[in-house]
Amino acid sequence: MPHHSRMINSKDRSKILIVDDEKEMVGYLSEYFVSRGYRVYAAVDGSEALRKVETLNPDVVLLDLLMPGIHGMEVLTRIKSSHPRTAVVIMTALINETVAEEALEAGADAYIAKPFNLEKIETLIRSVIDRYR
Amino acid sequence: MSEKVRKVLVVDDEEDFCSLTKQAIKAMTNFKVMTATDGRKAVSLAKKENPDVILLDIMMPGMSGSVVAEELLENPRTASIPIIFVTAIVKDSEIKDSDGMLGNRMFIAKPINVNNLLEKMHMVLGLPHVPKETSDEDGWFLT
Repeated sequence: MPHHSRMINSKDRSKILIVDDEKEMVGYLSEYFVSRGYRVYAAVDGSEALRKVETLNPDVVLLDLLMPGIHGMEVLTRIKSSHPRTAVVIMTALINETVAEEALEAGADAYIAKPFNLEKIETLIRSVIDRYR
Repeated sequence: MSEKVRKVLVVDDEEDFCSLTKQAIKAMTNFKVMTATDGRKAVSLAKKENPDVILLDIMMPGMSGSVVAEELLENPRTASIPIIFVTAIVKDSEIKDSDGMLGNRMFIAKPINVNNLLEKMHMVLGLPHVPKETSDEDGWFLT
């Protein structure tokens, strides 16, 4: 077996920022994406998300729409105006086409309703990241 | 022949898990075991103590295990410390099917079978591991 450290090539891996006020959801998604080779970061509200987008410049933000404080839609708009090449995928428990369309019009790259299948979300994340490569 | 004492850092926000894991490792090896119950402490302890291997829980409040791992990788002093990630959501069968490696990282599933953990640690450290008499079925588990 080669030395462990050589197997990790952090520069090649995509950075994902998970934004959700539900800590369980953040943990769940973090574990999954770490196991899929991503560099995983998390934020529990909109202002933390905006700060982390600045410092980390992630490839993709997985953003919950309904959070206390700054609304997800506003976080989306701000990310897209400051970092147009950062992909944003909206997630929400609200199954509402109007909200989905609104998010897409505001610049979201994709939209996914909770509860979701982890493999599907990974495929989706991969495809939106590839759009900006 | 005097052998170098290997240092293990166990990181989990649950204090009970840390102390049980420490007890288990100490009972079956001569490794020195350190523990940290949050990400910030884990990073500073890793920088100070330079452990030979880190057992790292991902799901922690505040600074998550994934961020701890990235910080350690970014620092040349800690970048080469092997990490075994602890997961509660990835299935044990999937980990076994992939020889413990997922996304180029080493994983172990909770509840952790102590023999399995020690085997992984010995492998990472390049040490031979002679398992004790317990089997997977009746082994000592850490949850």
